[in-house]
Amino acid sequence: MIPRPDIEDVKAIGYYLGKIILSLSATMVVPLLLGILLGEFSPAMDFMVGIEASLILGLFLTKICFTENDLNWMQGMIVVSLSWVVAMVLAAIPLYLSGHWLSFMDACFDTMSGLTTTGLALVQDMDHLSYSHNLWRHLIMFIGGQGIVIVAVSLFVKGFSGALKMYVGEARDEKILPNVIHGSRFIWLVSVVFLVLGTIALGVTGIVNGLKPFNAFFHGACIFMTAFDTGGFAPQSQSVLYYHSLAYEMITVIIIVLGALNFKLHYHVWNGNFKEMVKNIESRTFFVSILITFSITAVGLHQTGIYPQALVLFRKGFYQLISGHAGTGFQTIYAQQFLSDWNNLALAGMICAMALGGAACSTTGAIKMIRVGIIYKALRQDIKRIILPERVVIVQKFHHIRERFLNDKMVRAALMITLAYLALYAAGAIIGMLCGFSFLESLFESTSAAANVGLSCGITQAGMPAALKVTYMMQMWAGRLEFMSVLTLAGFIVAAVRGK
Amino acid sequence: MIVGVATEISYALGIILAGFFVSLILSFKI
Repeated sequence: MIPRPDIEDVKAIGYYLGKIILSLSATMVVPLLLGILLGEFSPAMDFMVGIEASLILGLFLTKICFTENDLNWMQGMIVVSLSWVVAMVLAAIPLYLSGHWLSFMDACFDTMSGLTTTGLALVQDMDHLSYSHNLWRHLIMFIGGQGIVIVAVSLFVKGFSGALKMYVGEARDEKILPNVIHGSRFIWLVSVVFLVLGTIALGVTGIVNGLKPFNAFFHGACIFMTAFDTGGFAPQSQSVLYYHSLAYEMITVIIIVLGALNFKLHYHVWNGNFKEMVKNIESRTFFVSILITFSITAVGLHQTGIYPQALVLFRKGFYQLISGHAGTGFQTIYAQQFLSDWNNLALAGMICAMALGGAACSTTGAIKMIRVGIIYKALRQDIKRIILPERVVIVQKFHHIRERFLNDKMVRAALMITLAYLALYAAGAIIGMLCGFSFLESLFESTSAAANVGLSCGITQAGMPAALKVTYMMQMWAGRLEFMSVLTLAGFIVAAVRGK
Repeated sequence: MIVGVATEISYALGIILAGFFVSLILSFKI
């Protein structure tokens, strides 16, 4: 028998959801101020409407659902799950009002894509979007990458004793520091240090490449935010191809790799434990996985003969590969070129890379390196069991911050989530095929959405079927939250309807 | 912190270098 949720459950969920909405409205002030400073008064009004809507809903929820109770695990998971949906709708208001999206659903698609750091976009005439709207697109990616809860925890420290439960719900199951609030602040420290360094590097490169100083630093800040948070939005419709600069591409690759690393690894390396970089199971698996998937892609591209020179093959093939593997989605080729210029082998390498993703407790989506590493270690352990005599006790260890012994519970958890991701990729691909697209392009786009990558082979555009838009939005949401929060919400709804 | 940042950037450069070597080997048609 499932117990029906009581009024206290609803009040706790509503109260904390209200606080998160209030913090979202606070972040809308940034593009509003930019709009006023640059004289973009019409876009600034769009943000005023967005802030008002968020304030009304946030204040209403915090007043009507006021409670002093802490969140329990179930409530924490549901707050996280709902906050991403509510944030999607509210963040879409200023975008839709700009007139650059054909429908409110298209604007919601882009905000979900932004919040989940995916990077698929349905925006029209992006190259003429106002600075404030463009900043908002990139800012929501930064907020989503950091984690909406992290943003809320950082803004509303007092009374957030249920923070840990939401922190875990947001697929950050590894605590960087014993205190969640300190953990959140460390995430901000790393991000701000790299934000300054990355923006300067990209800004200067932009000026050298002929951009005006304001544009160079505006693009630099936007590109940094979406590269470090492995998002993939770019200020221009041609993505990173717009800059035609090898230096720009190299800098973005470095930022992407840094963003794909575990924040716990950042913490230990920044505190003097440099060997961790080489010994850590995730950084090792990431390195090997990139080399294997790139080799597959490179052999495929070599077969086509489209990039005959090593540097060109490296520049085009490696950039898309690393962008896909780390879940970013920057492109230096046009979307249609994946189908017209690349062969099946090259695309298979790309799909494998996208499906694997970066490190856990980073801003990437997908299966993640720790799970791949654990499954590999478990396979090794099983092979040893078969080869060695039965009386031999086989102990398998791996290094993640400290030496750990592999146990069945870890392997089970890693396999469960991996299977769930594979099912999600397959489900999206089947719906894509139902809408009339080929197997490979459906699988490519579905993996890109569910793994929060954002590379597109051309399916994602405003004219695509509405069913596919909703499918990709659901995939982005479930993929970013790693299923648990979403499944808890589904269980809560079932309990509310059928519980006793 | 500065050495930590440098260590992480070296790791990223290592990945880039390894990728370039793969491209280079392929261009020799081995």
